[in-house]
Amino acid sequence: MSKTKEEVLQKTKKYKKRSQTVEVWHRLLRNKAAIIGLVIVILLFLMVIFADVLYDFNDVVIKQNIPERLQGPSVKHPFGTDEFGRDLLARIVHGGRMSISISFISVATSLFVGAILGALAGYFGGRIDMVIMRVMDVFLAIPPTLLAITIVAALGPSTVNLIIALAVSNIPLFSRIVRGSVLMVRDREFIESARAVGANDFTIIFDHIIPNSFAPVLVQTTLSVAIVILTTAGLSFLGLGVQPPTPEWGFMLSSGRNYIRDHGYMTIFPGLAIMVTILSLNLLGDGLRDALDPRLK
Amino acid sequence: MKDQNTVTNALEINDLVVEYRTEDGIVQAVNNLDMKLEKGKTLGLVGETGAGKTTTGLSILRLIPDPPGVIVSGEIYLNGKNLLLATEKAMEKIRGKQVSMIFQDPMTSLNPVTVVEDQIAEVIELHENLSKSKSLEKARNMLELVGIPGERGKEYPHQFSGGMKQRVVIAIALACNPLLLIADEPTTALDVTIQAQVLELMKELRETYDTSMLMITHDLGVVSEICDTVSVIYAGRIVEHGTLEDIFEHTGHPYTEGLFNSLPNLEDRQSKLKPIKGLMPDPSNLPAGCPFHPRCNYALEICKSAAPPKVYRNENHYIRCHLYDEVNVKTGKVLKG
Amino acid sequence: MNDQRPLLEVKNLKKYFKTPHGMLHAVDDVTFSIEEGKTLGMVGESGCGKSTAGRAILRLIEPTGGSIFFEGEDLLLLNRRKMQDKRKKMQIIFQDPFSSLDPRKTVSQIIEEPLRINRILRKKYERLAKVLELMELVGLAERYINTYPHELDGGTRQRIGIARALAMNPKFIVCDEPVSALDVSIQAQIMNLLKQLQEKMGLTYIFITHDLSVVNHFSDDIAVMYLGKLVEKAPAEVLFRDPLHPYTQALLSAIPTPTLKKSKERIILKGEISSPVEPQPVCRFANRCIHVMERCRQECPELVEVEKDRYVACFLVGQ
Repeated sequence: MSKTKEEVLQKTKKYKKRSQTVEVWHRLLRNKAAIIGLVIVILLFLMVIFADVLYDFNDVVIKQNIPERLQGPSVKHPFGTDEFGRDLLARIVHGGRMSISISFISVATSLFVGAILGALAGYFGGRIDMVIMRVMDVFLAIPPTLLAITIVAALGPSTVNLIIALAVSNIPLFSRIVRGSVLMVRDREFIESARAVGANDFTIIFDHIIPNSFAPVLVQTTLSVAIVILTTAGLSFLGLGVQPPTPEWGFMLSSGRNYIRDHGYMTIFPGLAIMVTILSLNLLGDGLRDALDPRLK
Repeated sequence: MKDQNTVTNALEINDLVVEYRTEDGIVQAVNNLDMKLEKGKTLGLVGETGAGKTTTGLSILRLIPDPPGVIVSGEIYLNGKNLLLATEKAMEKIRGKQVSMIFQDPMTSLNPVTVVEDQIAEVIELHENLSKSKSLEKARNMLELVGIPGERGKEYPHQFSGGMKQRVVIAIALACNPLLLIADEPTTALDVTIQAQVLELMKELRETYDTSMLMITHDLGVVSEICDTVSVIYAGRIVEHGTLEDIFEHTGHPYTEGLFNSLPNLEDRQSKLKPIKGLMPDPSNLPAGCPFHPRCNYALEICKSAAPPKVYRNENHYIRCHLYDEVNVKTGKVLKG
Repeated sequence: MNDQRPLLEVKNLKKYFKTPHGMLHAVDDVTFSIEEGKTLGMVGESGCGKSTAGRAILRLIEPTGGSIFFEGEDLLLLNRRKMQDKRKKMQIIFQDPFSSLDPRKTVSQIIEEPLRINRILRKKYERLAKVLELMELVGLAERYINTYPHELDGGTRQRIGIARALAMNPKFIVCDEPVSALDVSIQAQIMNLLKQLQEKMGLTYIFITHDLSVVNHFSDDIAVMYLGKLVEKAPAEVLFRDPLHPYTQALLSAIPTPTLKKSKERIILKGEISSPVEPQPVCRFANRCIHVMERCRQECPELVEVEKDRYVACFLVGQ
């Protein structure tokens, strides 16, 4: 029964995979709130990607334009101008790029490092688990925002240091979640089955355990991005984050305080931007949790 | 209202239809099911997973989760009273007192944070209006009755083995001397020797209390040990019903025959097992006509479109199958064995 | 090929687990052998150690002591790499077709995995061809190739497990309660399949089960276990016709037979199973045995060959 390569491939192409991702996608789409969240997140992404196309950084965003300062919203400046005459909408768009890229990079880092630590701790247990988790406990004892502030204060305020601080402060959270997930999967029979056919620990962790521990991590990721955006804004508000003249929502909120009585729009719009972003991420995260959670097992 | 003749039946179910209305479609769990159980007797409800046995049991107690479950139509008479017309309050009085149920898994049936005598006493207090101390006394008596020393009443469920936990469950079920005991696969989760002990116990208690019993099981061996009559259920409907002798010695329905043939024969080691081909039908998408026809070795053309009627072989034994008519059902030479 | 020597020889196999209350003797001093092409049924109730023994033989659990001779070599002396190599010839089929398959892998990925991990058949399409071949062998429809386990029913899933176990052309398979989780009519289908495969491929099985009627049909010899000890071993029809150990007698009489003619008086055991933790050096069945004697409460009986191929561990018989 020798088959040629073509015959075999042809046979298997006939039967399409009913991908699990597609099923989850369908379930997600049934949730109206999640769709709203998803749409807004996509729009934000587009905004981030096309920021430079929309508004040139040097000419519009940071270049001062004193004659046009402190103007309310108008057709020319839909969100008004700040105390230096810079278009607020342009600054919000670029500010969004900062917030979103910072949060994504730092969360991605936390996730990566946290997942490895959590997987090792969960899979091997014993002393490795104890050492890793006790170290994580030390970090968890400190509130993440405070930890971030401490790190930035120690390293000096800059965007890179901000990312480092945010990443470090979230590693314990991810390691804990991944560890919990791994513990649930580790003793299932299909892991034993993998060992029975000769898989080593490395293969088991990457091929079997991680794909099956994914769901809670995915949900936490969306929620963490939201939290980090908020933390970034907070730190920038305190002057410990992104440095001027680069726009950042928290910083814009802070500087708008001085003009809040007559030029409220200077705080309202950055504030709204933060709120809408966080809300949409939370809606998306909740929707993902519901879509991934039941029936999939 | 039912007349005096039929009040000899502890349980009578007529034309019961139960559905589960889910997002993925309507699951027809029970389809026009009929059942009769005489007082003091034991009826075995035999079928495989997904046939609707547990749903039937839960329907009697009106414990079907709603949503998504719905009792669409039918009548369930407990000692002449239609339970489907009773109010929820009335049902609460009936559960535990007139009808008790024991479930398959003793591990999850007992409250892990309460000592066993309290769990038995709770039922007694609820229904019999006795004081706490009198209820506890009665609870300890029940423990002795099921073969557990009374002093162990102060222990927690996790301190007992599987077989003993099941005995506690039986004690709770019989504490108020119910008219009807519904046992849903009570011994399936137990080891063979413990199963034998528990079945012996149930037989003894049945004698003492004269309880009528509905024994839900897939195990024909258990049926032969403890049941008087048997109803074979497939896709939510009874396909054959009769006394133990009728079913075992004069098997009528092809599905029943298939069940017997699937079992390894202890007497004859060499014979090849004859499994029933195919799979249980999807209850949200049942085949038309007789639901067994896709798997039946004797299927006729009519089986694909028309649901078969009941054909009686004698007063007790009927078979729902197009193979039979008034004549050949009595000669008993239809199936090939 | 040496036909004289049994394919598998287990000698004094032990597996103990540490618990807060002391050592749990899950498998205690178990000795038996199996010839190539035969089936040994291992029976006993929960906690008797049969599943642990099955896994220990494959070194999925590390034995505490003893020797396991497979094709003449003691597995416990092999290093990791050599053991990996041996694993290709010794596989396992699990009880629960719901949890023994990775829910995130398709049928073909599951069956292909042993080939991929052990670098058998380097090219992807070669492995796929083998997968299709195996699926046909076990009666899995071709169209399931890209489906996920949760979309299929118990019997079909179990076939996937069987195909996977056969992927590397093993000689020996431990079947750990392979049909217990399936419906009666499906059980029969899978049992017939396993028997066919044995005949076709010359497989040797250990068939672990608590269901005695099933094991009778399927096995050449049967080993009865109680609390970690092997109490009786004999050819299947001999065991059923004339069980010697009181536990075997009780076990056999406890099976509810689906006939109306009850040929024997049922032996109902009294009492509960004693604890496997730090057991006393006495007969472990003594507290429930209807024939118990003084000696049983003072010593532990050894497994003794009372006739050709008949082994019993009981003071009533041959000691």
